[in-house]
Amino acid sequence: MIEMWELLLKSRKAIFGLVVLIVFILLGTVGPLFVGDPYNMNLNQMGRPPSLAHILGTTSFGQDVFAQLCNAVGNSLLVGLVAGVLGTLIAVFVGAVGPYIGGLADRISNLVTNLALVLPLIPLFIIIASVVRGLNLVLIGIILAVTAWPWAARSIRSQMLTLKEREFVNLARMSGDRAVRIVVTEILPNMMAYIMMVFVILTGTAILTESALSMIGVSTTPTITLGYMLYWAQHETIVPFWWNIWWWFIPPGIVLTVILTAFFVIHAGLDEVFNPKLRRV
Amino acid sequence: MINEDVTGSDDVLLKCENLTKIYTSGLIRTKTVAGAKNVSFNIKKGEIVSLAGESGSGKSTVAKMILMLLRPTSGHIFLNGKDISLYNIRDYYRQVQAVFQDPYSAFNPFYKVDHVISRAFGLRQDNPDEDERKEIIESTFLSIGLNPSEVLGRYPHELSGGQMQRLLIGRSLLIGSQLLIADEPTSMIDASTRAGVLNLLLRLKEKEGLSVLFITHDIGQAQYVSERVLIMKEGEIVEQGSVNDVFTNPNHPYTQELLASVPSLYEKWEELT
Amino acid sequence: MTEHILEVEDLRGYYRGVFGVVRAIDGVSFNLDRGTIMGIAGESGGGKSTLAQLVSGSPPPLLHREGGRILVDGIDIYNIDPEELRTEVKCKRMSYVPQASMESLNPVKRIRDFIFDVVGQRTGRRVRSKERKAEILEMAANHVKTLGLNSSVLDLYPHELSGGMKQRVVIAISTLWNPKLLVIDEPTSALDVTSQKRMIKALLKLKRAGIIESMLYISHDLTSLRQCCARSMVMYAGKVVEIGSMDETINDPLHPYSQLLGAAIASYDPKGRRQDTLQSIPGSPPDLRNPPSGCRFHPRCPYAMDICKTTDPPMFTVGNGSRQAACWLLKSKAGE
Repeated sequence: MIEMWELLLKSRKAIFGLVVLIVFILLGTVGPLFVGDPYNMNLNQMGRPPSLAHILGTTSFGQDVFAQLCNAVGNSLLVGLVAGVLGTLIAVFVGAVGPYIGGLADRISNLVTNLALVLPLIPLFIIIASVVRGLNLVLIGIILAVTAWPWAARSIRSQMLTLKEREFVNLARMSGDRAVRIVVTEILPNMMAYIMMVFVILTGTAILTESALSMIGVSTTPTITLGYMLYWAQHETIVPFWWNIWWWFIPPGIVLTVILTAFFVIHAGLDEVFNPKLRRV
Repeated sequence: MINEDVTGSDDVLLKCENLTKIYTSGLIRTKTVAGAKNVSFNIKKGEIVSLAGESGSGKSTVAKMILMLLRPTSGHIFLNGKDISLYNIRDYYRQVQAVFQDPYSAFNPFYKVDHVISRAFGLRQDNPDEDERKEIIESTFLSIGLNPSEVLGRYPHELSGGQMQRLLIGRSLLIGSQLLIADEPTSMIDASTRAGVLNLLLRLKEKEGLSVLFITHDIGQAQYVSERVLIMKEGEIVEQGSVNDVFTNPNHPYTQELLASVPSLYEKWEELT
Repeated sequence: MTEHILEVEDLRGYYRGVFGVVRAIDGVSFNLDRGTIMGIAGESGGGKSTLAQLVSGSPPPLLHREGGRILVDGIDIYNIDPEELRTEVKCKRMSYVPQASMESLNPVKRIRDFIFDVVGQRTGRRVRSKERKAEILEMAANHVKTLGLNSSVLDLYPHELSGGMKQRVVIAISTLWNPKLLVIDEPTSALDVTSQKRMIKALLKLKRAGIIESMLYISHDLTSLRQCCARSMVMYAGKVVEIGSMDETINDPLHPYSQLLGAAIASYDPKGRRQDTLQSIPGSPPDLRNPPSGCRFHPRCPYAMDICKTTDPPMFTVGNGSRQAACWLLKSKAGE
């Protein structure tokens, strides 16, 4: 395991992605403490371009764009984190436990996976959003997790099926270990690399999905996320031409792109470290 | 049901009776493959018995059933006269242990090799403390020609195949098992170190009274290491007897064909010259 | 025309990568006479497969020829145009069947269509016309029959064949151009004993039928080499330790490594079990990134002398000149 971390630190891609991500995590967590209220509408300062008072300008409702951006980054990352952690846990549980026990348990978990795999996300989301009152970010993260894990469970299952045939699993059984202990101490550590990748991918895609849904106006939370900023920037009607208020939508667009790029660069770095075919000899 | 006649002979350690394993695949249209058919044999205390056959003959299926890693479709296995399904699982594994074909697969690459050894202590009843463990490990390792400082604290990929197989044999000695199922223990290690593992099994048999089921496709090794041999083909034991009888004067046509195909260092096949 | 089909002179082949420089082949010289089958024996890490890869003319990416020559039928294969190597040497003069080559059959194509692909690639001309196809099929059928298979296997898919059959099909394809030399790496190691025997018989038939002339047969299994090779070469840690006739190397080995290797093998004896105890060789093969000084076997050798630690022994010729071994113990015996 130590070697893995060493290798990871050798991968420039992974380090670059992590550094970028840490910057945005700081921006999203510490940033909101220093900026003003992102919702506060200053009617004297509507649609102003960047200036010293408002370094990214104001929206056409007179809100500070930078204050909104800091909150949006934090909130988008929160949605991603909730979806990533929960999705990974579901994927590991469904993908690892059923197949280890085998037989009926494996069939059931496989069936559940396949059913979840064919759930259409956007229609589902529209229905949930219209039925559930008081959607909040954590709830959105949970919904995203519940719909995003199946592909990961499938690949974890296939890894499980090969790993459980390895002799060290038999040896652990012959040391009198119970199934749960074998899965946790013998098999899962060997999948850690893969599970880390699953987490990175699930988090990244959850951020993207949440943004996409908010941007098309499906999400009905009043909380600012990157997608929510983009939605309002598109739908404001006070300024006649969209490019006249570029400072409103370009920052969240760039930030979203950079965060997602960071996630996928980390993914590529992990791949480089853990995939022997890509590991530079 | 516990078979009574087993208790009659004291020196029988393991007895397999009509062991059959049928693999079924498919949900609606099922396909069945017999991994083992009516396999019956016994192993006496302090005896090395070879189970020889080609790949797919069912050798490993039999081993897995004895190791309780597979449930037989029908038939019974008795250890010391008691049906193994009646054993407490930890009591059973205290007496029966294994060495597998691929040493690299037998060690979890995630842990140092000490992991396998320390897990094995869980099966012992005396529950030794840290210092006692160290002593037991050292004396056991030295007795099988392993230098503890050379192997402990290392990762599996840092050891040679021969060292790993010795470690696994050492593990079963630590547990104090009476029967070792050795499933092709030498097939993945180099010729020059192979002899060491074979000699170690012979020595443990002599000194500790260890019984070994030596599973192999290598007739030469079976001849070297064991007193009795079972020849398996397509899940059935086609011939069994003492090594001297079976290997010098085979009765079953399959055994004859098999032995005629084995290249020998001492003789050349006549039909080729 | 020289009397040797293969001449290897002071060959060096190193693997280079971030792991360092592995001296896998370090000064190997030998000749293979026309019409001879030579077996190369030794443990893993001895350099057998590396040698075969170098002889094949296209070593894998990290393996580099660092010196020495290889002459196949008098042609210096590392000193000619790659195009000429492809058209003149490979397949026509020499064919190389690597380890586990039976997995190289295309799983989604019938054997016959795979053969057309191979021929197309080899000649640089796709096989299209009916006449040409029939011609190739006839050739292939002939080879397949010589190897003891029914020619109908050509119409099957690889998954319909057993391991031994696939292996023989690959050999048939590799020898389609009747190469003078066949270099074959571990053809039997993945097979059961009964198919191993069939395999060895098939190879000998190939030679008897005149499809191939000479063979370099690489195997870690001394007992199967013993069955089909007239000459033998034992390798250890990237060097040749002994060359001679197979019978002599088995019955009266010169080099301590050959002696110990022979004594370590539990060979089946149809006359009954031998009473002598097998001996394993102490220690393990050296790390070829940093090989021991002098003779590479000296750290494991029971007869090691002072000179062995400092100076690499040359090949000493013993007897009537047909046997050679690299060991200082032979210095007095070899009239030098």
